[in-house]
Amino acid sequence: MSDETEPIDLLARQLGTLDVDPERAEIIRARMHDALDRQIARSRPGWRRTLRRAYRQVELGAVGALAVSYFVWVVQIVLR
Amino acid sequence: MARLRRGDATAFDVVYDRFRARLFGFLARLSGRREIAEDLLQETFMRLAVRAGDLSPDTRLAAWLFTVARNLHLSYRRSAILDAERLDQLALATPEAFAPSPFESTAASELGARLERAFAALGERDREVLLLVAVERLDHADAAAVLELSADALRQRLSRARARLEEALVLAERSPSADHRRRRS
Repeated sequence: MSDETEPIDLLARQLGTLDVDPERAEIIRARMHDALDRQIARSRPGWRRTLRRAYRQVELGAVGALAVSYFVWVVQIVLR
Repeated sequence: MARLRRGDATAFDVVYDRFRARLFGFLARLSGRREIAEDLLQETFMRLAVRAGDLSPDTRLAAWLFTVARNLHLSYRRSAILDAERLDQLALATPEAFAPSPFESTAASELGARLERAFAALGERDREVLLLVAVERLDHADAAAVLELSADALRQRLSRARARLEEALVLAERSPSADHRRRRS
């Protein structure tokens, strides 16, 4: 059997192309967009998430500054 | 891929137009039923919409989509088998040897119709490997990833599927086509 008549090549060439009905295709597209919009809305940060993220970023610095200021205050008390 | 990850709706439209028919053909020929293929196709694109943001920049989109579609089909098959009420229906939907393929009428020629019939008579494992490699032209690495096989296992499965397709074609040649049967009845 030559390459031209190999069943696997025939399969690629001769198997009919299938597609969804155009009406159904548009419904599926619209549902995909709805799911995408919902996903984007879900991943958009609300004020609580924004606040939490901001706190996480400043937490270490704030606690460090508090510790340093307490240490300085203690030292001042001792030296007075 | 970057635009998909950002949630760019136009990029989703491009992917949808490029892969809709390919994925539908794959699912329809695996399940043997248009309405199931349509539902699974919809679920595949919904998954893309939900998970696109988590995909890595080097994701091979074709392989990813076919993997999702195949897994959805496997889940559907499992749930259908567990659903006792649908067992009879499932038996009807399972391709029997040389029963007319539901897609025979879409074939452009007698040879195409014979191929559809022979193809529908193959087992699911043979059909999926042939669809991915021969029809969808996925490279062997992608097809192996979709089917969760090693490269060697894929080659073996493909070779067996090819042999079975040859046998099925010979047998299909001897059985009359759906058109021929219709004309006779």
